[in-house]
Amino acid sequence: MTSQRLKSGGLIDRNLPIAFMFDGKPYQGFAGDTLASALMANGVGLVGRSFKYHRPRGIMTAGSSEPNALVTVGEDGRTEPNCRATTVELYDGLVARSQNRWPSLGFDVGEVNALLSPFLGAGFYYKTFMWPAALWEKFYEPMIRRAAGLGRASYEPDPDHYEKCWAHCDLLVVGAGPAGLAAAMTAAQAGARVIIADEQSGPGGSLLSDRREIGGAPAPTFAAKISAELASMANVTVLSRTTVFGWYDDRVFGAVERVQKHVSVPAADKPVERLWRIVAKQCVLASGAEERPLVFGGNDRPGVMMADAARTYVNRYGVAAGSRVAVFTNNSSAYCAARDMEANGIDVAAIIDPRAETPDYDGQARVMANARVVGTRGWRGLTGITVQRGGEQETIPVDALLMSGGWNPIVSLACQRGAKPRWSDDHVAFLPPAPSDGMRTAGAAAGIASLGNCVQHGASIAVECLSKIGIAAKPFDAGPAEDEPAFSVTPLWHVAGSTGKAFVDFQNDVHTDDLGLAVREGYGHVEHTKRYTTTGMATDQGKLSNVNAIGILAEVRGTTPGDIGTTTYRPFYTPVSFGALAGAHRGRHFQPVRRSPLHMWAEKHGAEFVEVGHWYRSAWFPRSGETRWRQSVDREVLAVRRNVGICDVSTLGKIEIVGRDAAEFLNRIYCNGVAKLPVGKARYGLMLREDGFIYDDGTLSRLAENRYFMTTTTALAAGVLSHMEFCAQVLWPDLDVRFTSVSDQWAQIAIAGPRSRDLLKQIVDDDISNDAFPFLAAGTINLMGGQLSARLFRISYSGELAYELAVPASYGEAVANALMAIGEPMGVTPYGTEAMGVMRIEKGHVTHAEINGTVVPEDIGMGRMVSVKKPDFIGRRMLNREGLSGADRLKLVGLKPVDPSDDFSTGAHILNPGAAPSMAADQGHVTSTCFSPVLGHHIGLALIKRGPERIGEQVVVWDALKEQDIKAIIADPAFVDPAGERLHA
Amino acid sequence: MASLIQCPHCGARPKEEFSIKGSAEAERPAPDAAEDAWFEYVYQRDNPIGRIEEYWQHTSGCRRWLVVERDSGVHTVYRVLDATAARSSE
Amino acid sequence: MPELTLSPVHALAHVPVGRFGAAENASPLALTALAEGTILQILGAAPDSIAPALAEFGNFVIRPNAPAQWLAISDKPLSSSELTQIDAALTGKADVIDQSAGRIRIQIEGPDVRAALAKGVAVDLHHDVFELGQSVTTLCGHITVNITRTGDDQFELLVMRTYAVDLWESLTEMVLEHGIECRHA
Repeated sequence: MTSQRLKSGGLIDRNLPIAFMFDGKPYQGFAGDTLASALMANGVGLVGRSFKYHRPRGIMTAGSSEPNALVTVGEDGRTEPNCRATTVELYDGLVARSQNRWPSLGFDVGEVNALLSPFLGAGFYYKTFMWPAALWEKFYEPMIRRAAGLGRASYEPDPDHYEKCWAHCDLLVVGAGPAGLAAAMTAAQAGARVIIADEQSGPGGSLLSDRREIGGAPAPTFAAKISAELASMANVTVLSRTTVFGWYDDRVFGAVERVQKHVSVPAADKPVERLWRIVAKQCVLASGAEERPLVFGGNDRPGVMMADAARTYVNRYGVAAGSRVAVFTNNSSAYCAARDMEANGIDVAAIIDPRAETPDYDGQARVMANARVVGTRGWRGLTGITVQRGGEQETIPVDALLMSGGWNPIVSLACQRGAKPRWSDDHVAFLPPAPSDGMRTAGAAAGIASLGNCVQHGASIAVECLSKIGIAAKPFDAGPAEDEPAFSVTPLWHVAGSTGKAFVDFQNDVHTDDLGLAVREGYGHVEHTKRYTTTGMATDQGKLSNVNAIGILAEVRGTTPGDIGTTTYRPFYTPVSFGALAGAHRGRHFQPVRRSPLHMWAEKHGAEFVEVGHWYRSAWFPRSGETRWRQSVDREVLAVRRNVGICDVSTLGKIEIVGRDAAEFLNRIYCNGVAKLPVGKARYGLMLREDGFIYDDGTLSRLAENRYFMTTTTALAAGVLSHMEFCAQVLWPDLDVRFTSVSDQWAQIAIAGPRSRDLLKQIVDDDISNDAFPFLAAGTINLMGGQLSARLFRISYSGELAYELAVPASYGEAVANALMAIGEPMGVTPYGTEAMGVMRIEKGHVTHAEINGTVVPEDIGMGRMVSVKKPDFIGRRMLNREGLSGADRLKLVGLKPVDPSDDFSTGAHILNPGAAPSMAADQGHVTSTCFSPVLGHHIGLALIKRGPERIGEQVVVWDALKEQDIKAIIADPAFVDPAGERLHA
Repeated sequence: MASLIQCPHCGARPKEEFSIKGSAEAERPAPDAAEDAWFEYVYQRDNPIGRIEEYWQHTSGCRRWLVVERDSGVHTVYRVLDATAARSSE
Repeated sequence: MPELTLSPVHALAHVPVGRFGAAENASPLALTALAEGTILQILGAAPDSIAPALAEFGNFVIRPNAPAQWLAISDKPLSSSELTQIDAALTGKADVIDQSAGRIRIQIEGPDVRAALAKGVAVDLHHDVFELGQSVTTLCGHITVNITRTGDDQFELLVMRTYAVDLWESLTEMVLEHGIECRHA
């Protein structure tokens, strides 16, 4: 390979050298280089190995459509595989490695695949690795996994951060080439809010590769001038290094900005990538056009490159693709590339053109009409090409071949919402779909050919878009553009009679034989061909291959490309990192952290927390010397049952309900009667779903004639509120009722145990004796000599004498501290959700482990709670279904092991003794288990067929996961204080 | 990625601010209606491709229930009404 | 009864304060945890009938929260007897739910405030579009907030108390590239 840096020229800064590494070797480039241009400048032509056949591959393009030069950039947690070397901006200290080769790029054992190629044709994986079936798991799959993919991801944590943001504009311009810049200037000058985005390091697009003049200046100078002006305008946002990757419903666009992927060490206070969600009233798609490869034998050899890419390397990066090159083209644009090569002292041996009539050419190169390249020579780098003209063949020694098969407007974004592009015989290309509301295409993306026309088109399209949103604009006038000859092209979908594989999709190693095979095997529909051959399915999503595949399919099937059509376009246009998609929502911030008002208090007391949805709940409070959670939990349970404990129950849902029809409304929400609940009283309530099954349980307290306070399970707080809002707004909007969540307003503390009243009366001013404040009393009280107004509820989850004290959340910590200080002499103990869980199981109180969506009130022994008098409540009608009162239903019971040293698992199934496990023999399952410190052995709750009728019966608890059969006895679910005497003390 | 819903109270908002309940086609039967009518209401849904009406709630905004009329095939949203207002105008 | 004084603790009492992020920015953003005063959620009536009833209890601003719902906000905390009086004054007109402890007020200001908020907020806060005094309830990241424009380049965010620390942490990260000064009022 003799690609090299030219002595002068290019837009790079030759005063700023940059040191980088590739495959362990040090190299030098300049500021403004991409990794690809710098490698080429250093004569590195071999940059990768192809996916299937491990063929040597070189750099084919100068942009984001690159199929071959995929490298891994970065190290450790910053490792990024499958980067296109053509878009990696060079920075000091950059470390890059080639991929998909072992042991090295130069000597790759995978080359042996080339010998197996007759067996590796399209669809081979549907026909191989089938037999013997036993080998799949042990051999085929591991082998395929090792061979699959190109780059390898790192498992180390990514040290950088990412962010997402929103933006709003009148006009989004996608692409900052000639048409895009003109559109943006038009809109900016009209005072519109403009966002212009370009995937490259700065605006300019094709202007940066051009030597022609526009507006009296060389194209790159013109681009710089317009960009600077746009950047200076307050109503314009210029987003460089930003790919608009998707057009979503309505007018929302997704874009990713590579904020710091081009710096040696990212600054910590900025993200490395930023995901933009842009709401644009109108959009101009000025994404340009992509040059098509030609399909002929050996067209994938390192040294074979797109003609316009070579032109870009010369004009923008000062790099020659080779010292002696040839051009193979079916259209006029590549003649421009030839001219630019010669202008920089590169020898152009020949221009090979299959057409009879070729454009005028005044350079040195020999123009060969009616000619085709039918093969290439060289293995790791091009050494020559074989040209066929008439009946004669000629071999021309060259080290680079510039190919051009025509131009494809880059229409992806315009097609992502389902519209199909339209085939044009004149352009020999697919043009954008018919304009839709909110999206117009301009410039080369719309099939416009010359530079001057692209600029004018961009401006006039912008005027049209702005008029749709009521903004009057005048088209930006760039000044005169250099004349250019008209564009001409004749289709050449593939070169018949080539020698060697003729590649269509370079990245997935799909060649013409594969397409033929697909059609012969019945997969000739374009969507089938795509999946059968994998053409268009690689990380480049067929940017260079799709249209050629369609052209070839059309020929094979004897129809037109328009008839074949394109496959469905979907986001993303180029790959987007998961980091950008997650933004700041990763690690601890994956979801919001919701802290109880007593969180710091709990931390201070050494709480171990458990995540419950967004909440952090204190699970237990280990004391020094306790190493296992059971030690803490057992101690907390005994402390509560024998003495007094306090527990943070602030996370439960709390809803305040007001209005003249509040009682009636609540009566329709609960299955039990609540309308007659007296002021100053609380009640346990069950809410059903409309299908009759229990939805949630909680408490309801009446604080005043028309003011109620409801609690719900923590996890269902949001659901219950939405359900109530649906009932109030949609089902019964005529009821005079209003309610709102007060979950955050109140800190709520449970004070439980035989001494709970003794503790509480020391801070509560009011009389809370058993007569004055009996079981289920509820009301407003005062604390600590009138310092604070609070609410007290005598409700109990633990089954002990207990209260729940609600104080304004800002006072939660102070009140908890006061309870601890005052309660210290009586040994008050903080307890968490684990101890709470043990105590409720000991009492047979249900949670959503029991009310699991398949349970009705009767199943948990609460059949009598269901009102028979209420004419309507949610779930009333469907609850009456025959099947929901069947005799064989699973019903709540307790369970204890025959051998007190045994335990069993939640989820284990119940069998009759001696029965073999089967669905038919299944008697039910264990819903909750715990060790009861009060009883000294494990206990559980279970839902068992006809459970309550079978108390005392022995059953088997069958656990296939632990391979255990435990003998157990069905018991009353209330293991402790079954008569409930403590509650009423 | 978010598409925008025009909440009649709050204006255009990303769909992450909403939660979707399901079809708004059926009306809750009278409490004493036949069991079949209740079975239909609770369990049966037509689920067509094309224009449908759904109940959405603007949970991170006004918390109003809305009726969203949209196309289940191509996601075009035709109109969004406050559910209470929509019901009272029937 | 033992002599113990009950003192409130601000939900953001323990968040780090000081200067963070880009040091070179001469006009960093300022993030202020406003002192807890009074926040009343008014259900039902229109603001004109609410304002007179509140006038004697402090300097209240009344912001729309949802259809037929307002938030009445003042910097001064109210005693429980004052709350009872307000409740009585509005009987028959509107229902009052005290959310003074349920919501935390965070102020954010500075020349780059809109660029910073845009990282979490989908609503267009452009100075020509979002007017002084205008309020919306929307998402900031994954957390529901009520946002009011209170100055040229100044906004007040109301967030549920239990999400306040998380929102504060998200906000401080969102603004690092602009530089931020974090403080308590």
